[in-house]
Amino acid sequence: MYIIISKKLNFRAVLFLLFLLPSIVFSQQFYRFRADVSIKDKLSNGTYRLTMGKIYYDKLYKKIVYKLIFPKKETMVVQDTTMFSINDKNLVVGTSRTFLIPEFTAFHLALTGQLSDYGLKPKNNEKSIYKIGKVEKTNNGVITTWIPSEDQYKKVFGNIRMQTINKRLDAMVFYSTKGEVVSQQYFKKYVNVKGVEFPTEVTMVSISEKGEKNIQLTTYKNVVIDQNNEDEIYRYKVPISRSAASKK
Amino acid sequence: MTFAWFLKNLVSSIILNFMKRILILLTSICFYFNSIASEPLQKEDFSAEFKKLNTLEAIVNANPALTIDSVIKEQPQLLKDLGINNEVKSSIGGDDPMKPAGFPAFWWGFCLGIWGILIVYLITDNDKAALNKTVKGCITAVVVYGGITALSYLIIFITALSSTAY
Repeated sequence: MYIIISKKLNFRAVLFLLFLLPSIVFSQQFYRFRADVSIKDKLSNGTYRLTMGKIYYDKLYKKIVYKLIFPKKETMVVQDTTMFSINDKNLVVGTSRTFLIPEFTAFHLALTGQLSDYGLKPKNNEKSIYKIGKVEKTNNGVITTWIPSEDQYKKVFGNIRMQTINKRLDAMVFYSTKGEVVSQQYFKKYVNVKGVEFPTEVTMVSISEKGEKNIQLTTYKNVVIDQNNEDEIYRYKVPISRSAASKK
Repeated sequence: MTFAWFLKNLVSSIILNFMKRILILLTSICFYFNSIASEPLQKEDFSAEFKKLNTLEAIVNANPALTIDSVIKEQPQLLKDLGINNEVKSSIGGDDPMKPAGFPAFWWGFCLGIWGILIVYLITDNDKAALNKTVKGCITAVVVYGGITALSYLIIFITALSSTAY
Protein backbone atom coordinates (compact mmCIF):
# COMPACT_ATOMS: atom_id res chain seq x y z
CA MET A 1 0.00 0.00 0.00
CA TYR A 2 2.84 2.39 0.89
CA ILE A 3 4.52 1.39 -2.35
CA ILE A 4 1.45 2.35 -4.38
CA ILE A 5 1.24 5.75 -2.72
CA SER A 6 4.90 6.58 -2.86
CA LYS A 7 5.55 5.35 -6.39
CA LYS A 8 2.67 6.55 -8.49
CA LEU A 9 -0.07 7.84 -6.18
CA ASN A 10 -2.66 5.92 -8.10
CA PHE A 11 -6.07 7.55 -7.97
CA ARG A 12 -7.80 4.23 -7.28
CA ALA A 13 -5.45 3.55 -4.40
CA VAL A 14 -6.21 6.95 -2.90
CA LEU A 15 -9.92 6.21 -3.24
CA PHE A 16 -9.34 2.88 -1.53
CA LEU A 17 -7.54 4.57 1.35
CA LEU A 18 -10.16 7.28 1.67
CA PHE A 19 -13.24 5.11 1.68
CA LEU A 20 -12.39 1.50 2.36
CA LEU A 21 -9.72 1.77 5.03
CA PRO A 22 -11.79 3.70 7.57
CA SER A 23 -14.55 1.13 7.20
CA ILE A 24 -12.03 -1.64 7.91
CA VAL A 25 -10.49 0.18 10.87
CA PHE A 26 -13.84 1.11 12.45
CA SER A 27 -15.72 -2.05 11.49
CA GLN A 28 -15.75 -3.18 15.12
CA GLN A 29 -17.54 -0.04 16.33
CA PHE A 30 -21.12 -0.78 17.30
CA TYR A 31 -23.53 1.89 18.36
CA ARG A 32 -27.06 0.58 18.80
CA PHE A 33 -28.66 -2.06 20.95
CA ARG A 34 -32.26 -3.21 21.05
CA ALA A 35 -33.84 -6.19 22.78
CA ASP A 36 -37.00 -7.51 24.35
CA VAL A 37 -36.51 -7.35 28.09
CA SER A 38 -38.15 -9.03 31.05
CA ILE A 39 -37.16 -7.99 34.57
CA LYS A 40 -38.25 -10.18 37.45
CA ASP A 41 -37.75 -9.00 41.01
CA LYS A 42 -38.11 -10.82 44.28
CA LEU A 43 -37.98 -8.23 47.01
CA SER A 44 -36.85 -8.82 50.56
CA ASN A 45 -40.41 -8.26 51.85
CA GLY A 46 -41.53 -11.37 49.92
CA THR A 47 -43.33 -9.50 47.12
CA TYR A 48 -42.55 -9.70 43.42
CA ARG A 49 -42.40 -7.36 40.44
CA LEU A 50 -42.50 -8.02 36.74
CA THR A 51 -41.47 -5.46 34.12
CA MET A 52 -41.67 -6.30 30.41
CA GLY A 53 -41.03 -4.39 27.23
CA LYS A 54 -38.29 -3.36 24.83
CA ILE A 55 -35.03 -1.58 25.53
CA TYR A 56 -33.38 0.79 23.06
CA TYR A 57 -29.91 2.25 23.52
CA ASP A 58 -27.72 4.33 21.25
CA LYS A 59 -24.27 5.01 22.63
CA LEU A 60 -24.03 8.34 20.77
CA TYR A 61 -27.25 9.77 22.23
CA LYS A 62 -26.58 8.10 25.62
CA LYS A 63 -30.30 7.69 26.25
CA ILE A 64 -31.80 4.47 27.52
CA VAL A 65 -35.36 4.13 26.27
CA TYR A 66 -37.69 1.50 27.70
CA LYS A 67 -40.94 0.92 25.81
CA LEU A 68 -42.82 -1.01 28.47
CA ILE A 69 -45.90 -3.14 28.03
CA PHE A 70 -46.18 -4.38 31.63
CA PRO A 71 -47.14 -3.45 34.38
CA LYS A 72 -48.19 -0.33 32.43
CA LYS A 73 -47.87 0.77 28.85
CA GLU A 74 -45.39 3.59 29.26
CA THR A 75 -42.08 4.86 28.01
CA MET A 76 -39.21 5.42 30.40
CA VAL A 77 -36.27 7.50 29.27
CA VAL A 78 -33.04 7.66 31.20
CA GLN A 79 -31.09 10.74 30.28
CA ASP A 80 -28.08 11.95 32.33
CA THR A 81 -29.19 11.16 35.88
CA THR A 82 -32.89 11.75 35.35
CA MET A 83 -35.56 9.23 34.51
CA PHE A 84 -38.71 10.40 32.75
CA SER A 85 -41.93 8.40 32.76
CA ILE A 86 -44.05 9.17 29.73
CA ASN A 87 -47.58 7.85 29.28
CA ASP A 88 -49.21 6.61 26.07
CA LYS A 89 -50.54 10.16 25.39
CA ASN A 90 -46.93 11.38 25.24
CA LEU A 91 -47.19 13.32 28.50
CA VAL A 92 -44.52 13.25 31.19
CA VAL A 93 -46.15 11.67 34.24
CA GLY A 94 -43.10 11.62 36.48
CA THR A 95 -39.44 12.46 36.77
CA SER A 96 -36.95 11.17 39.28
CA ARG A 97 -33.25 10.93 39.84
CA THR A 98 -31.79 7.55 38.96
CA PHE A 99 -28.59 5.67 39.64
CA LEU A 100 -28.79 4.10 36.19
CA ILE A 101 -25.78 5.56 34.38
CA PRO A 102 -25.84 4.73 30.63
CA GLU A 103 -22.04 4.23 30.48
CA PHE A 104 -22.20 1.49 33.11
CA THR A 105 -25.02 -0.53 31.62
CA ALA A 106 -24.38 -3.95 30.10
CA PHE A 107 -25.54 -2.64 26.68
CA HIS A 108 -23.05 0.24 26.58
CA LEU A 109 -20.21 -1.97 27.81
CA ALA A 110 -21.08 -4.70 25.29
CA LEU A 111 -21.26 -2.21 22.39
CA THR A 112 -17.90 -0.72 23.33
CA GLY A 113 -16.28 -4.12 23.95
CA GLN A 114 -15.67 -3.39 27.62
CA LEU A 115 -18.06 -5.89 29.19
CA SER A 116 -15.35 -8.46 29.94
CA ASP A 117 -13.84 -6.12 32.57
CA TYR A 118 -17.04 -4.15 33.24
CA GLY A 119 -15.27 -1.02 32.05
CA LEU A 120 -12.99 -1.03 35.10
CA LYS A 121 -9.81 -1.15 33.04
CA PRO A 122 -8.54 2.43 32.69
CA LYS A 123 -8.63 3.87 29.20
CA ASN A 124 -5.74 5.86 27.73
CA ASN A 125 -4.40 8.44 30.21
CA GLU A 126 -7.58 8.19 32.30
CA LYS A 127 -7.44 8.05 36.05
CA SER A 128 -9.19 4.92 37.24
CA ILE A 129 -10.91 4.33 40.56
CA TYR A 130 -9.89 0.68 40.52
CA LYS A 131 -6.70 -1.20 39.78
CA ILE A 132 -6.00 -4.93 39.59
CA GLY A 133 -5.00 -6.32 42.98
CA LYS A 134 -4.85 -10.05 42.34
CA VAL A 135 -5.39 -12.50 39.47
CA GLU A 136 -6.06 -16.19 40.13
CA LYS A 137 -6.57 -18.98 37.65
CA THR A 138 -9.10 -21.55 38.87
CA ASN A 139 -11.01 -24.49 37.41
CA ASN A 140 -13.98 -22.16 36.91
CA GLY A 141 -12.06 -19.48 35.02
CA VAL A 142 -9.98 -16.44 35.91
CA ILE A 143 -10.78 -14.49 39.08
CA THR A 144 -9.57 -10.89 39.19
CA THR A 145 -9.73 -8.83 42.36
CA TRP A 146 -10.02 -5.11 41.70
CA ILE A 147 -9.01 -2.82 44.54
CA PRO A 148 -9.46 0.97 44.89
CA SER A 149 -6.47 2.61 43.22
CA GLU A 150 -5.90 5.23 45.94
CA ASP A 151 -6.27 5.40 49.72
CA GLN A 152 -8.93 8.10 49.50
CA TYR A 153 -11.10 5.78 47.36
CA LYS A 154 -10.69 2.94 49.88
CA LYS A 155 -12.77 4.97 52.35
CA VAL A 156 -15.73 4.90 49.96
CA PHE A 157 -15.33 1.90 47.64
CA GLY A 158 -14.84 -1.74 48.55
CA ASN A 159 -13.12 -4.41 46.46
CA ILE A 160 -14.68 -6.04 43.42
CA ARG A 161 -14.10 -9.67 42.50
CA MET A 162 -14.72 -10.66 38.93
CA GLN A 163 -14.82 -14.06 37.28
CA THR A 164 -14.31 -14.46 33.55
CA ILE A 165 -14.76 -17.68 31.61
CA ASN A 166 -13.29 -17.81 28.09
CA LYS A 167 -12.80 -14.01 28.25
CA ARG A 168 -16.50 -13.52 28.97
CA LEU A 169 -17.62 -11.83 32.17
CA ASP A 170 -19.36 -14.51 34.22
CA ALA A 171 -19.80 -13.14 37.73
CA MET A 172 -19.03 -10.10 39.85
CA VAL A 173 -19.10 -9.55 43.58
CA PHE A 174 -19.09 -6.07 45.07
CA TYR A 175 -17.82 -5.68 48.62
CA SER A 176 -18.35 -2.87 51.11
CA THR A 177 -15.36 -1.07 52.63
CA LYS A 178 -15.78 -3.45 55.60
CA GLY A 179 -15.43 -6.47 53.28
CA GLU A 180 -19.09 -7.52 53.36
CA VAL A 181 -20.79 -8.67 50.15
CA VAL A 182 -23.23 -5.96 49.02
CA SER A 183 -24.04 -7.14 45.52
CA GLN A 184 -23.57 -10.20 43.33
CA GLN A 185 -24.10 -10.18 39.58
CA TYR A 186 -24.11 -13.14 37.22
CA PHE A 187 -23.90 -12.87 33.42
CA LYS A 188 -25.07 -16.04 31.68
CA LYS A 189 -26.34 -17.39 28.36
CA TYR A 190 -24.25 -15.25 26.03
CA VAL A 191 -25.25 -14.67 22.43
CA ASN A 192 -23.09 -13.27 19.67
CA VAL A 193 -24.93 -10.82 17.44
CA LYS A 194 -22.86 -9.26 14.63
CA GLY A 195 -19.77 -9.85 16.76
CA VAL A 196 -21.18 -8.30 19.95
CA GLU A 197 -21.08 -10.72 22.87
CA PHE A 198 -24.07 -10.16 25.13
CA PRO A 199 -25.36 -12.06 28.20
CA THR A 200 -29.09 -12.70 27.78
CA GLU A 201 -29.53 -13.60 31.45
CA VAL A 202 -28.30 -11.22 34.14
CA THR A 203 -29.00 -11.96 37.79
CA MET A 204 -28.35 -9.38 40.45
CA VAL A 205 -28.52 -10.05 44.18
CA SER A 206 -28.46 -6.94 46.34
CA ILE A 207 -27.83 -7.37 50.04
CA SER A 208 -28.73 -4.60 52.49
CA GLU A 209 -26.84 -3.81 55.69
CA LYS A 210 -29.47 -5.80 57.59
CA GLY A 211 -28.76 -8.81 55.36
CA GLU A 212 -32.03 -8.52 53.41
CA LYS A 213 -31.79 -9.85 49.86
CA ASN A 214 -33.41 -8.49 46.70
CA ILE A 215 -33.05 -10.73 43.67
CA GLN A 216 -33.44 -9.40 40.15
CA LEU A 217 -33.39 -11.59 37.06
CA THR A 218 -33.20 -9.75 33.73
CA THR A 219 -33.73 -11.73 30.55
CA TYR A 220 -33.06 -10.36 27.07
CA LYS A 221 -34.48 -11.81 23.86
CA ASN A 222 -34.28 -10.89 20.16
CA VAL A 223 -31.12 -8.82 20.53
CA VAL A 224 -30.59 -6.48 17.56
CA ILE A 225 -27.32 -4.62 17.02
CA ASP A 226 -27.01 -1.45 14.92
CA GLN A 227 -30.65 -1.28 13.91
CA ASN A 228 -31.20 1.16 11.03
CA ASN A 229 -34.83 2.09 11.61
CA GLU A 230 -36.82 3.28 14.67
CA ASP A 231 -34.43 6.22 14.86
CA GLU A 232 -37.01 8.40 16.64
CA ILE A 233 -37.03 5.97 19.58
CA TYR A 234 -33.25 5.86 19.95
CA ARG A 235 -33.07 9.67 19.99
CA TYR A 236 -36.30 9.99 21.99
CA LYS A 237 -37.22 13.62 22.60
CA VAL A 238 -38.71 13.96 26.05
CA PRO A 239 -41.94 15.99 25.68
CA ILE A 240 -42.09 19.34 27.45
CA SER A 241 -45.77 18.90 28.31
CA ARG A 242 -46.53 17.27 31.62
CA SER A 243 -49.68 15.47 32.67
CA ALA A 244 -52.02 17.14 35.17
CA ALA A 245 -51.17 14.41 37.72
CA SER A 246 -47.46 15.23 37.64
CA LYS A 247 -48.15 18.97 38.06
CA LYS A 248 -50.18 18.45 41.25
CA MET B 1 -10.81 -70.18 69.04
CA THR B 2 -7.82 -68.51 67.43
CA PHE B 3 -9.53 -68.59 64.05
CA ALA B 4 -12.73 -67.13 65.51
CA TRP B 5 -10.69 -64.37 67.21
CA PHE B 6 -8.89 -63.70 63.91
CA LEU B 7 -12.18 -63.63 62.01
CA LYS B 8 -13.71 -61.29 64.56
CA ASN B 9 -10.72 -58.94 64.33
CA LEU B 10 -10.78 -59.05 60.54
CA VAL B 11 -14.49 -58.21 60.35
CA SER B 12 -14.15 -55.40 62.90
CA SER B 13 -11.15 -53.93 61.04
CA ILE B 14 -13.08 -54.08 57.72
CA ILE B 15 -16.07 -52.36 59.34
CA LEU B 16 -13.77 -49.77 60.94
CA ASN B 17 -12.05 -49.08 57.60
CA PHE B 18 -15.39 -48.82 55.85
CA MET B 19 -16.68 -46.39 58.50
CA LYS B 20 -13.50 -44.32 58.15
CA ARG B 21 -13.95 -44.11 54.38
CA ILE B 22 -17.62 -43.10 54.77
CA LEU B 23 -16.61 -40.44 57.32
CA ILE B 24 -13.88 -39.05 55.01
CA LEU B 25 -16.32 -39.06 52.08
CA LEU B 26 -19.02 -37.29 54.11
CA THR B 27 -16.51 -34.73 55.40
CA SER B 28 -15.25 -34.00 51.89
CA ILE B 29 -18.83 -33.62 50.60
CA CYS B 30 -19.53 -31.21 53.47
CA PHE B 31 -16.36 -29.22 52.70
CA TYR B 32 -17.23 -29.14 48.98
CA PHE B 33 -20.74 -27.78 49.52
CA ASN B 34 -19.48 -25.40 52.18
CA SER B 35 -16.89 -24.03 49.74
CA ILE B 36 -19.60 -23.56 47.09
CA ALA B 37 -21.92 -21.81 49.52
CA SER B 38 -19.19 -19.49 50.79
CA GLU B 39 -18.00 -18.53 47.29
CA PRO B 40 -20.25 -15.67 46.18
CA LEU B 41 -18.91 -15.88 42.61
CA GLN B 42 -20.77 -19.17 42.18
CA LYS B 43 -24.38 -18.58 41.27
CA GLU B 44 -27.10 -20.11 43.38
CA ASP B 45 -30.11 -21.62 41.66
CA PHE B 46 -32.88 -19.02 41.82
CA SER B 47 -35.28 -20.78 39.43
CA ALA B 48 -37.65 -21.75 42.25
CA GLU B 49 -37.85 -18.12 43.41
CA PHE B 50 -39.33 -17.01 40.09
CA LYS B 51 -41.64 -19.94 39.33
CA LYS B 52 -44.87 -17.97 39.86
CA LEU B 53 -43.49 -14.91 38.05
CA ASN B 54 -42.73 -17.17 35.07
CA THR B 55 -46.46 -18.02 34.92
CA LEU B 56 -47.32 -14.30 34.88
CA GLU B 57 -44.65 -13.65 32.25
CA ALA B 58 -46.11 -16.40 30.03
CA ILE B 59 -49.60 -14.85 30.37
CA VAL B 60 -48.30 -11.40 29.31
CA ASN B 61 -46.23 -12.91 26.49
CA ALA B 62 -49.31 -14.68 25.16
CA ASN B 63 -51.23 -11.40 25.13
CA PRO B 64 -48.98 -8.30 25.18
CA ALA B 65 -52.04 -6.02 25.23
CA LEU B 66 -52.89 -7.13 28.78
CA THR B 67 -52.73 -4.52 31.52
CA ILE B 68 -52.19 -5.08 35.21
CA ASP B 69 -55.91 -4.44 35.86
CA SER B 70 -57.01 -7.07 33.37
CA VAL B 71 -54.57 -9.63 34.81
CA ILE B 72 -55.88 -8.87 38.32
CA LYS B 73 -59.39 -9.62 37.05
CA GLU B 74 -58.37 -12.84 35.32
CA GLN B 75 -55.76 -14.17 37.76
CA PRO B 76 -56.55 -12.61 41.16
CA GLN B 77 -55.03 -15.45 43.18
CA LEU B 78 -51.76 -15.48 41.23
CA LEU B 79 -51.23 -11.74 41.68
CA LYS B 80 -52.24 -11.96 45.34
CA ASP B 81 -49.61 -14.68 45.87
CA LEU B 82 -47.04 -12.47 44.16
CA GLY B 83 -48.00 -9.41 46.20
CA ILE B 84 -48.69 -7.46 43.01
CA ASN B 85 -51.51 -4.91 42.92
CA ASN B 86 -52.59 -2.27 40.42
CA GLU B 87 -50.30 0.32 42.04
CA VAL B 88 -47.15 -1.68 41.33
CA LYS B 89 -44.45 0.21 39.47
CA SER B 90 -41.86 -1.00 37.02
CA SER B 91 -38.44 -1.81 38.38
CA ILE B 92 -36.60 0.47 35.95
CA GLY B 93 -34.33 2.93 37.70
CA GLY B 94 -34.82 1.25 41.05
CA ASP B 95 -35.20 4.29 43.28
CA ASP B 96 -38.52 4.58 45.05
CA PRO B 97 -39.37 8.32 45.06
CA MET B 98 -41.14 7.80 48.39
CA LYS B 99 -37.81 6.67 49.81
CA PRO B 100 -35.24 9.21 48.60
CA ALA B 101 -31.76 7.71 49.08
CA GLY B 102 -33.46 4.70 50.71
CA PHE B 103 -34.86 6.73 53.61
CA PRO B 104 -38.65 7.35 53.89
CA ALA B 105 -39.66 10.85 52.76
CA PHE B 106 -41.61 11.49 55.99
CA TRP B 107 -38.50 10.97 58.15
CA TRP B 108 -36.43 13.33 55.98
CA GLY B 109 -38.83 16.09 57.01
CA PHE B 110 -39.19 14.88 60.59
CA CYS B 111 -35.46 14.65 61.29
CA LEU B 112 -34.03 17.46 59.15
CA GLY B 113 -36.97 19.87 58.90
CA ILE B 114 -36.61 22.47 56.17
CA TRP B 115 -33.24 20.96 55.10
CA GLY B 116 -34.98 17.59 54.65
CA ILE B 117 -37.57 19.21 52.36
CA LEU B 118 -34.78 20.78 50.32
CA ILE B 119 -32.86 17.49 50.05
CA VAL B 120 -35.99 15.55 48.99
CA TYR B 121 -36.79 18.29 46.45
CA LEU B 122 -33.34 17.89 44.91
CA ILE B 123 -33.14 14.09 45.06
CA THR B 124 -36.61 13.39 43.67
CA ASP B 125 -36.58 16.26 41.18
CA ASN B 126 -39.65 17.88 42.73
CA ASP B 127 -41.74 14.71 43.20
CA LYS B 128 -44.94 16.18 44.66
CA ALA B 129 -46.03 13.06 46.56
CA ALA B 130 -42.62 12.61 48.20
CA LEU B 131 -42.42 16.33 49.04
CA ASN B 132 -45.90 16.19 50.55
CA LYS B 133 -44.78 13.40 52.89
CA THR B 134 -41.62 15.33 53.79
CA VAL B 135 -43.64 18.46 54.63
CA LYS B 136 -45.96 16.33 56.77
CA GLY B 137 -42.89 14.95 58.55
CA CYS B 138 -41.63 18.49 59.12
CA ILE B 139 -45.01 19.65 60.50
CA THR B 140 -45.23 16.58 62.74
CA ALA B 141 -41.76 17.34 64.09
CA VAL B 142 -42.77 20.96 64.81
CA VAL B 143 -45.96 19.79 66.56
CA VAL B 144 -44.09 17.15 68.59
CA TYR B 145 -41.27 19.56 69.47
CA GLY B 146 -43.79 22.35 70.32
CA GLY B 147 -45.85 19.93 72.41
CA ILE B 148 -42.83 18.71 74.36
CA THR B 149 -41.64 22.30 74.93
CA ALA B 150 -45.12 23.42 76.02
CA LEU B 151 -45.43 20.41 78.32
CA SER B 152 -42.05 21.06 79.93
CA TYR B 153 -42.94 24.75 80.45
CA LEU B 154 -46.24 23.66 81.97
CA ILE B 155 -44.43 21.28 84.36
CA ILE B 156 -41.94 24.02 85.32
CA PHE B 157 -44.81 26.47 85.83
CA ILE B 158 -46.81 24.02 87.98
CA THR B 159 -43.69 23.13 90.03
CA ALA B 160 -42.89 26.81 90.54
CA LEU B 161 -46.51 27.54 91.45
CA SER B 162 -46.68 24.73 93.98
CA SER B 163 -43.33 25.73 95.58
CA THR B 164 -44.53 29.38 95.98
CA ALA B 165 -47.79 28.16 97.52
CA TYR B 166 -45.79 26.45 100.26
